[in-house]
Amino acid sequence: MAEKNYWSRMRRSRMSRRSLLRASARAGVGAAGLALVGCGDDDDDGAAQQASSDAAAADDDQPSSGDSSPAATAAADDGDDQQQQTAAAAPSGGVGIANELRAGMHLNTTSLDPHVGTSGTDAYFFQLFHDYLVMHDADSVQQGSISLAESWEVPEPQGSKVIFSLRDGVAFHNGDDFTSEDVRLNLERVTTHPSSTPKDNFSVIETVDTPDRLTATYNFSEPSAGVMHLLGDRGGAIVNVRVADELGDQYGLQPVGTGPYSFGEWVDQQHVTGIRNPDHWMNGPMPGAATGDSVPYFDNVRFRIFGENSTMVSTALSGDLDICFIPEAQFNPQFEDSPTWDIVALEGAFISEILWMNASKRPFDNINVRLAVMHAVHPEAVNRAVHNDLMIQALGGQWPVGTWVYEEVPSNPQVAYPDIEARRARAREHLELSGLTAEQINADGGLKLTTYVNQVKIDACQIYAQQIKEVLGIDVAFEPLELVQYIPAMAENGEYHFAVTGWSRYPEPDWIASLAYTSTGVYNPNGKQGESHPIHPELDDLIGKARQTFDIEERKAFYRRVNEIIVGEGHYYTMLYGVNFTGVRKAIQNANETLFNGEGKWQTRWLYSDEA
Amino acid sequence: MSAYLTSRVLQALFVIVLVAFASFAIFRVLPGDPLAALSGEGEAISPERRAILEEELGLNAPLYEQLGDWLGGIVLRGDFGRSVLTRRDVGPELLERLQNTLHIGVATIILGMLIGVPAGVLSAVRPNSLADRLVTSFSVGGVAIPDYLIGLMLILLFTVTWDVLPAAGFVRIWEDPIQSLRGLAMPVIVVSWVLSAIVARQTRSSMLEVLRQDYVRTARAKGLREGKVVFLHALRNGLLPVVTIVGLLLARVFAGAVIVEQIFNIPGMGLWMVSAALQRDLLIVQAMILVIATAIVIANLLTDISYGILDPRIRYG
Repeated sequence: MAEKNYWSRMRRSRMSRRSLLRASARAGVGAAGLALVGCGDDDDDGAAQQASSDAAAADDDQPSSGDSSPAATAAADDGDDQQQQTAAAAPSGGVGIANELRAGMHLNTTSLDPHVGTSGTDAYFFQLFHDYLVMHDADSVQQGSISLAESWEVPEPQGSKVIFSLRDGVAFHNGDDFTSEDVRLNLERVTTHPSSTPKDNFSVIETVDTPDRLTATYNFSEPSAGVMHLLGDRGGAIVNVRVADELGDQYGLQPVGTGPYSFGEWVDQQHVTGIRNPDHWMNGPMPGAATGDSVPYFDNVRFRIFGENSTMVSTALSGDLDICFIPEAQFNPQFEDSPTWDIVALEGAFISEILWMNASKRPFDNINVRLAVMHAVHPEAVNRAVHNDLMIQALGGQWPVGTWVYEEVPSNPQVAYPDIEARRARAREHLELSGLTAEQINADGGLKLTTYVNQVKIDACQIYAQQIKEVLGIDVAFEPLELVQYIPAMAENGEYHFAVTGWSRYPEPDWIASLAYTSTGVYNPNGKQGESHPIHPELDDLIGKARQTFDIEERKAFYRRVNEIIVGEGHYYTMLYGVNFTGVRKAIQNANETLFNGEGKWQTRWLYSDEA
Repeated sequence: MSAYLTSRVLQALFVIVLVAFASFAIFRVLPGDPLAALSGEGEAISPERRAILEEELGLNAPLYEQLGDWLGGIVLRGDFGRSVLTRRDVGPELLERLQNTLHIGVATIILGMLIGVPAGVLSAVRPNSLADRLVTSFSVGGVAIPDYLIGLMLILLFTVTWDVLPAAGFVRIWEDPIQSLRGLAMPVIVVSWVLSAIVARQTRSSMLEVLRQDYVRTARAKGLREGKVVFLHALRNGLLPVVTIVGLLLARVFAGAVIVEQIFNIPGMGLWMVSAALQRDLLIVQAMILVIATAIVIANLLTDISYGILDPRIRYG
């Protein structure tokens, strides 16, 4: 009998069925415990705890240049080991460390190496560890007092060279002095590193002379006024190139700059931490503070990264954050209603909403069809319906309000026809002028609209498609794409007539002009990447002249004409400008005056707390 | 027995190899450019930079060569490659995140069993009673209400309204047990509700079947107390089918992790998987699919084997 055989076998093995079950249950519980405990790596935990205790121990008496800082250790050790150590650093709650600035961000950083990162969010993070050669204030004005170059000179003839006088007594976090040689090495890195993001911006600088340790001269192959503004962006951030060369592509995981904080740790999708650099060159009285607080004020900084916006806002409102990026306007009322939070806002500093139109695709090769569509959409209504009325009307071109080049563009439909009915009538006139009818366009497949997967943009597109249908009778097929599909579809293959896209604020207009408006620009709306497709015969020349002109008023005049062409002929239509809303706990001071830099991104070094 | 084991292990290996091929192939077939993520939101990547990156990441090599390099790296050196986006080694990061996901997984399976088994038994011994209806409602709710909604409601209550639990802030149990339990409470409740609902339904159905068996009637006829009949005689056999769903529960834990890790900001495999898939960070996605599939295959293998040991009626070979 099977039963007998079974029990016989069990008896032979001297183990009862009950014992087996009990042993299995115990083993199960034990295995569960081991699964939790056994996965832990003592070395890694030690590293994390060390980093944490280093952070807690950092104070004014501790030298920044010693080997004790994690960043210095990182610089000295093998890259792969360090990468693993950083990746293995244990996450922690990030709450409760005395004198810590706790910030919430909705996006991860792609790299802490300013030269190779690819996201507009990166600057929020790398500004903690790096200073810029020439930095902008909140009004996009370059200021020597906050830059590594105390002053600079543009000798005649303008455009051949710029001579920088560097600040003395500046040191990297690992103790190396900052000198003119670092300016030369940084420029060399930006222009030759295979993954350099701003490479093209600086290719006009042929050589860098270093006549003494505090003087560096850029020698231009051709004039480029934009370079000075671009130095306030990632390409002008100064890294320790010797360390970067040692670490290779791991530098982005353990940066060594001259910034107000030395690197603590980066746990991917969780947080980036920094430890106060007590020897930072800005160290001195805190602007606006009654006491002798120093710059930077906080011993530690912890930028927490949240995958879910509502979780971030809940964390902030429960008191676990000090400043909080507000990625969606729907959250503004929660901060406004809170007795412990304020909102600091900068107009034009967040992503704008733009129609990107492909004039090489029928019927958009007809200027009047493009203009008809531009006049048919009603961005103000979309702002109310989708953005809680918290974006602002775009009356200029792609250079938003707050940048030095901003001006109203008369041909912008919102400027020319403030009344929506008049604007719609003009839309119908343009369609008539095109010689095409809605029926003909629909019979040819209508128009194809796309955007990248982002719920707000998707909602907006659906409304824009409906508005075009209502005003012009043209069918608009809307198809959102993942970002990885959207870019090739629009920028390379020209598969759609138009897209709703966005740009971040940028202090130098040549950046957008070169990429989007020149005949070979990678975002040229008319054609395939790598091919020449002039949008307008004047544009390449205008953009080139604007780049070579150092007089700001003359530059403005060139860009005014660029805007007339781009907006007036319906290539890009900026409909709404974004506003950077940041929630700031009332105890945090100086945010209104100093939080935003010229790019509209955070600069946290001047923040302090009035809490005991 | 050994022939059966060998056959099952070979089957498992075959499934894992198949999954490896599929995970490699799927993102190469789907539209989307893995390098586009390097260009940032709304931006494009220059042809020069594209060529450099393709060379650097080996994406310009023939597909069979890419597959060989990837599988060879894993099998021979334990090297899962490097993230396209962050340049981190995938292997160590994977280990870190697996630990974090297991924190939730182990806790939710334990809690799911602790709630689901008694609830299922109660429901079975008192069919059509108020208790049965409550358990049924609880089970249906657990399966029907999306994890996402439950998570947000818990945050609204416990973080925003009462401020007793953190909405985010994961800590490992061996670093700070109290803080860890506070951080795990809400995510574990979210996932374990679903698991306990599944276990309760399975236990109820199985117990109802067992309670109608002759040996249970005999036990009652012998005059044993109802508690002894249920817990000593019926439950032991009634739980056997529940064991079979442990493998399925593990799959549910990984699926649930995608949502709860996003909501509660836990740096586990789910959060990583979503962002990597959206950004076509291929080596991360491939590694994750392989590891999760392997874990589920092993769990099912162990379940099958243990089922044979626990149930004397099952014979191998």
